[in-house]
Amino acid sequence: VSARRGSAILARVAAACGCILSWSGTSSGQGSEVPVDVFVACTRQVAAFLEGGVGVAEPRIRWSPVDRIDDAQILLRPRERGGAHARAWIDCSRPDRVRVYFASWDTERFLVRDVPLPYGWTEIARESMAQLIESSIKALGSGESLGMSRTEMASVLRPEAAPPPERPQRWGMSWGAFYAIQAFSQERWVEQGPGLVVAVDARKGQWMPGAWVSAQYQLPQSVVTDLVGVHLDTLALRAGARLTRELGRHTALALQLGAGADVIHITPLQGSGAQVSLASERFSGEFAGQFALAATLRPTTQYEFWASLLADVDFGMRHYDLVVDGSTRRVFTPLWIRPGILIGVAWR
Amino acid sequence: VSAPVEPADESAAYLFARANRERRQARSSAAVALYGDLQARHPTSEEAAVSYVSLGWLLLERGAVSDALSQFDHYLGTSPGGLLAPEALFARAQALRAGGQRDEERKTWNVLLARFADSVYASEARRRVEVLR
Repeated sequence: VSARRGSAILARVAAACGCILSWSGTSSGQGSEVPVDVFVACTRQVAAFLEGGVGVAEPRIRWSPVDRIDDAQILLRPRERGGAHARAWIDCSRPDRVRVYFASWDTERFLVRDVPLPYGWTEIARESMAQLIESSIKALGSGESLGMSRTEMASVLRPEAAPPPERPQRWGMSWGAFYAIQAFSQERWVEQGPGLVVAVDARKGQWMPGAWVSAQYQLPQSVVTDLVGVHLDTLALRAGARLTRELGRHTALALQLGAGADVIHITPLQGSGAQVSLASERFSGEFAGQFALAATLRPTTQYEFWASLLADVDFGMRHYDLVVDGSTRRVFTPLWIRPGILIGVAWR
Repeated sequence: VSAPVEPADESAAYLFARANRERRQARSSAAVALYGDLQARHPTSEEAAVSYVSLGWLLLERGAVSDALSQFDHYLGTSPGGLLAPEALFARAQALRAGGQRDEERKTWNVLLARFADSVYASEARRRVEVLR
């Protein structure tokens, strides 16, 4: 199908511009019936895609599947001119890149092109390869001298340092920084601050479990009433589990459950309208739980951005009281359920 | 916060895959429409970036030289270091040649030679620069 398309197209474009697409007119003297041989050492599926996706009709492409790229075959001189106008080899032996070798008709000049495959044979990779091969084959029509000599090419073909065997990475660690804003109390509407998080997650599968630990410094809060006040410095420590679902190559949703403690440094303050005897400063620990729904955007495999809707649950239901003549008056009560939002960035 | 989930028939990946399929099956009108739809709906997606080269060639093959040129220019403008930058320059030179713009064609070949002197396109670039001198 592609060849038929190519013929018609080439006729139109060549008529319009007399471009290099008119293969037979090149100075190498090859006729248009002389093909370019393309040897493909890829999976059957990828090979079929490339063959179907490349729409060059002239020079005609003669596709040949091979098990692997044979270095000797690349350097071998054809016995006579006219067997093939040029030759190309597509080597898919490595998962992280595909290598394309081009050789001129007499196999005296060579070119090598590496194409990275950061996400494997995706639709983008396959279409890019189809465009690359199609353009290259068109350009080879006038290829008097490609880039490398036989000696240089032989050095390229020396065995590469073997890549580490591809082991599907089952688990991966990530670490990141975030900023969270949460509801706090009727007196002070929000608490907020930066934090750090470390996580370990499964990297394969539709649903990927993981575990995380975070520490957030919450900016100091002061609440002052007529009688008394309080100044709070809080370190929120949390740990928990999460379940992540990939939505696409770059996006994911995660459900997080965790628990931990708020380590609070409490400094009683004088009120604005009375002098009272203050208790001494002290640390207090309050147990809390956390629930979050996180959306993740992963522009590359190396880092990701995320935003969460979260809620902290104050297990201790803490409150801050004033004792006057033996009777207790509640001065300030943080919300027992504190919803909030969080944005962060993480490196994987 | 939930990521916006697009209907499957409107996502960049879906439009790109459909357009590629139409292109491979020689249904160029449908492919042109789908690539255009992809670029209009998801202009900054990776799929759209590659589509500027694919659609450029289709338009050039249909004789729409200036439209093809703007596709190749768009790729080179937005992805100057992209994987297909040599191909986009090669295609741009072809489009300029088809449009009879000899000066611009020569400049394009020279840019290709300056940036990709070891590419498979260099030989043709040198030959055309000689012809256009």
